[in-house]
Amino acid sequence: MNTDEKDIGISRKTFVLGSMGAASTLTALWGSWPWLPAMFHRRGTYTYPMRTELWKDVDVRYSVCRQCRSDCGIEARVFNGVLLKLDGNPYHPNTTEPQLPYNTPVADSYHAPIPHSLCARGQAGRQTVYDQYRVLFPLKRSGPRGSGQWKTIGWNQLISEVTQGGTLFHDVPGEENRYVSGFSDLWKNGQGPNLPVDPAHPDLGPVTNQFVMFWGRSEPGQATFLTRFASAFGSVNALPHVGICELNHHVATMQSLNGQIAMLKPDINNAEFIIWFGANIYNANFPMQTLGRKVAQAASEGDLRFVLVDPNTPNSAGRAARHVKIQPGGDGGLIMGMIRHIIEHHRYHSVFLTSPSYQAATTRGQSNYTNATWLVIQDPGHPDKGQFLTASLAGLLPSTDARASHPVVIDSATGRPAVADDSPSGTLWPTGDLSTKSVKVNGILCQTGFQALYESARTYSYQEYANIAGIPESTIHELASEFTSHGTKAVADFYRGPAMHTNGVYTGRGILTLNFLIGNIDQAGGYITGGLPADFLGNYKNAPYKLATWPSPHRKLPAGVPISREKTAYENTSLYHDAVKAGKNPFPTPRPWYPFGFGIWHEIFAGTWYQYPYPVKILFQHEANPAWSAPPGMSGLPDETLPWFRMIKDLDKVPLYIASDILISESSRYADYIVPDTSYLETWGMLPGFPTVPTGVIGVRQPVIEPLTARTPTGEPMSVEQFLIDVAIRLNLPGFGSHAFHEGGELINREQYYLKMVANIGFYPDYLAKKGSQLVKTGPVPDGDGRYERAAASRWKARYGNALTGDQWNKVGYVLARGGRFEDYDVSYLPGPTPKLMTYGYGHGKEPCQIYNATFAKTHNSLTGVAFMPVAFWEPVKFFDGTPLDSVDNANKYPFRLSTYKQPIHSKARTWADKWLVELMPDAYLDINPLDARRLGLKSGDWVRVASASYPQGIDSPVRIMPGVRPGVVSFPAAFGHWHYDSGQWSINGQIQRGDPHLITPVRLNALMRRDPSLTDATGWGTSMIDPVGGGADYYSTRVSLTKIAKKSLDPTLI
Amino acid sequence: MDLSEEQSIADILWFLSALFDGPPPENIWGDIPESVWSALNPESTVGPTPSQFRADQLKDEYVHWLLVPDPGAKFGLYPDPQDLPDQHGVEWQWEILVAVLDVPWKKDEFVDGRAYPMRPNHLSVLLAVLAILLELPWDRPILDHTVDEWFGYGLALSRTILARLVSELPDNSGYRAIAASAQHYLAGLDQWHRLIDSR
Repeated sequence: MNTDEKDIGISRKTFVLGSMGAASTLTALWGSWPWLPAMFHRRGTYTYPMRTELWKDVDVRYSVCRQCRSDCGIEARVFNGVLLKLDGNPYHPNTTEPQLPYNTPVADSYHAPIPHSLCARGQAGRQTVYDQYRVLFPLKRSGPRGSGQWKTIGWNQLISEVTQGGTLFHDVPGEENRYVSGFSDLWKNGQGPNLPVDPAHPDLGPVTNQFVMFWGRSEPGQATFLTRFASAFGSVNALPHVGICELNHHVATMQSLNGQIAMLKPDINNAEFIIWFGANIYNANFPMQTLGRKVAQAASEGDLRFVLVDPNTPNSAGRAARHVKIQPGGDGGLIMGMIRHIIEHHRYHSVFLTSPSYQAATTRGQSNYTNATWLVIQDPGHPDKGQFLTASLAGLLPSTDARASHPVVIDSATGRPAVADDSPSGTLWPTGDLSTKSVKVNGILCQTGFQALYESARTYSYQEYANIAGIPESTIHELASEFTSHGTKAVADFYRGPAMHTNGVYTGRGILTLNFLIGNIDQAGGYITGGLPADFLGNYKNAPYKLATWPSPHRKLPAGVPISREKTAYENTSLYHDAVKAGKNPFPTPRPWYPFGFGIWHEIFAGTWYQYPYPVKILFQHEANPAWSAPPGMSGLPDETLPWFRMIKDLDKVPLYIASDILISESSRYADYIVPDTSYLETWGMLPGFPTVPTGVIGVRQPVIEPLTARTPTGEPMSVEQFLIDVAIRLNLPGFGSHAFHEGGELINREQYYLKMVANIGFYPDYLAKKGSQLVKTGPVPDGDGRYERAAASRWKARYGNALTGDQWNKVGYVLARGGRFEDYDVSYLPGPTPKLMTYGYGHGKEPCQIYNATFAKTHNSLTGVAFMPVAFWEPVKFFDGTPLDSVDNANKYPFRLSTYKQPIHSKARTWADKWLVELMPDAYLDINPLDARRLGLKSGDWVRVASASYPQGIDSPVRIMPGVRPGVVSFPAAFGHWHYDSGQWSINGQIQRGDPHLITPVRLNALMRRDPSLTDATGWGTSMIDPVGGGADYYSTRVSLTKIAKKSLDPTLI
Repeated sequence: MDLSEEQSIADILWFLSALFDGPPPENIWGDIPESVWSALNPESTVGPTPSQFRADQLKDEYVHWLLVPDPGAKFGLYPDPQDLPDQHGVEWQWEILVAVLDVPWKKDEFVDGRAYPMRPNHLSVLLAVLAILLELPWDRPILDHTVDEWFGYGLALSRTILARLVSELPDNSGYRAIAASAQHYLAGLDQWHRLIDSR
């Protein structure tokens, strides 16, 4: 033994000789062993590039991110099928400004010498796709629901069981004889869509509505597919998550416009002054990095001054001209005070506001108009009180006239009533300046919409509004004065902060009204709609595929009412009319109805629990995590006494619970079956832009790598789409299988659907391009005959050749190679020496900006029967029955308001799988103002127990001293406090599996958030506080107490 | 055929890789002489050797204990997060290394009863990549590390997984015996590798 060998425990000679001997034995057998790993190359030649960007044969694939809902274009570098790196797509305006001209050769884009950035969480997305805890095979629970006991099953077994139903869990104690309805029990060989779920009330829809699908994240394209399945099956229940996100913002915007446009954004590049209410600029919003980039540039190099109104301090505060730390729930005080100031000081845009029609507005140089001058019936006994006075009621036209229902104004020139269309200018003040006294027309007492607004605004004094907002009165006047000092180049914008209170829609209406008062809609530097996306559904002439409908037999029943009673006016249902006919008070209803809201998670769960308006049979969850994420007060802790857990564990109320997921999350842990799904880097989507970008945008999400999920027996990657397709084929649903499209063709895999959407995008004719001083339509994209375009198409054509026809592949290749279809940067504004008007605008629809919403005036809180306010209004945060929160939760007992906010490194549940992001900040804290901290004797790192009336046992949290949070408010970042997301413990086929214990870190305080006692049943099951108008959950009003406790370790393995 | 030291070791690693890719077919298992096992683990004095177990038993064990590819599993074939020897991006870089080496570790389809690796740190892939690395110059730089360093990294990961398997699998199981032999062999390989380093 030589010297070297003395240092090791095993003789080198023994080791080498043993290896050579064994190898020679194996070599003799080698050739006859097909079992040996043919999956690997042996003794080949390899390449050793050192920088990804310079590697030869690296594929660049453009797609769309989903690390948040900003939908930024991504540039994926893929080598040998492995995703190496993610950056921004230089064709996409979210990530690049100005973006590359769309006709730039693809090869040039790979070396584009301009920043095309992607945020930190976007770059970390590859850790989601390669997350080691992903579910790749179908799982079926083998123990009680939520026990964490699983077994693997084959694809065919999965499809058969959920389709046929039966005693599916007969091997689980207590469920030996429990019959579980499958899809076929509702479908009934195609007759289900024609059988009412409630024969006494057929307007509730068919029995197939008892299939309820909801999702946390699924955008256009994929959501369209999910909805296609639900609709083909006969269910209206394909429901997104909006109610726990920003729903009240959308409802306020939609109900101030035409009922369809859900979001406006400032034209940041030209605005001079912006007030952002709770919009969390630099940290979040749409698109986060695009907004941040534009604001940073405009504020540092341009003319932009901006004000933040927020009890927290977003990162953008560093550039803000002013930061107003508003009292949570009090934004409306500031806003209504500003409205009052603007009206009383006559600082409103009178030409804009007095134009009563589109024709009148354009004649006077305006791009759109309002209903401020329209007369509203105020006669107390009139059956149409609160509605607009019509031309026939005013005696101006006979009731048979085509314009009999048109609104009426007092014409400014004549002082007499006139049909709004006929008046070049209506008066705002028919009974004198600043008078709210009614005017009598044809014997009917009326006010203008503007008078109604002013009456609402002067409900409180300036000092009272200041107290409501928790700010000095001078702030109201100063902000109102500056806001009205920039012509139409000022904007008041908002998002979740002011909106997600029970008074959120009214507050949002106030913010929209501020913009209407200065007439900034569609103006350069004003409040804008953004560009129109290419139509992927093919609702245009000569579109290759009409995908909005499909060949289907006629159905006898109406689609019915969603389980959440959303998008449905209770007053229009047979439930209401039957009660009235029977002489009964139709109010209160067992649960509220929401004619304006949509995607209301808390009411999906409440409908399931109350079995109102019908019981649920199959609950299908896609990419959602309600056990962790929301709604407020209903979940957020591993505490099965919380409402969501009680609901999901109730086998009678939720007989079958299927989750499609990429891992076993806090929620899918409770599923009966988990369908292995593809991550966003392995799937499809068609993503329109946001109003922040003024040009037409449609990003195309395409799989950048082969999905990691196992294959079905037909060779397709397992995914939510393939699951639904195979269920549909088993049931023989219309729109799936053979003859699935009007144009012919089958739908047996998802590419056959999504590629048709891409074809529609390619052939879309109405995108614009600037030619000289004109904007002209581009027509369809050119044929993609370059190397990279052909490669982009052939990647799919080779496998799914029958999805499209030959010529369509050329257009599809052009689009896919660029990651979507984008108008060029110079299309933003109508041509002229300086930007004045946006190319795309709300005014093109010729519908009014609604200062007064007459539909609100005839719609009721379905518990109290009280009609909604038709104009901007401030009211305190209330329970659904009208009881003010602060009259129940005592400020002495609960002296703090609980708030929450997003950070730029996380969004919702999913990014916790990305360990780069976790490393940046592994733990969260409760932020507290130093004044409050000193009073309580707290310093950073101390621990407190935070308690609320809904969760008096409290939750323990470390604290962080944060001057940026308003005194009296405590706040926490939203992404933390997971307990079963790549962590926790479960078993598969009897074997214990453990996640990473380091991922269980503090803190999440959603369980503390106030539940509404007026929306709680006798067993204590209840939902969060809800805005009765919009349906959005209240996240920011809860009162809490803090009690200092002994310090705890932050090491999760020691807790 | 005369094999070099490295080629011989590589073939053993391929052999072990195959065993963790799936259970051996019955007709092949019987062909493997006892001498192979004694060469891998010449100092084994306790417990049965792999050849004492039938192929059908190994198949049952693999399917029930090792097939489900979830990391964190008691008998998982992936490293646990806490196993990773260096968290400074190296864990991810292994993915890139495998891409650079052109190792087609992802299977085109799922074959019932055999591994379906979702990441290239599945034990079967780790062992195969080690075999590939053996054929490269030790000082060749790849992705800011030398082949030598990559080999040490992959070897450490493999040994961690094997140690857990030996510790957790039942004493009288065939795959514990296989893991124990592999563990012993990789211990020898580690020392052989360190000896190479010290030269």
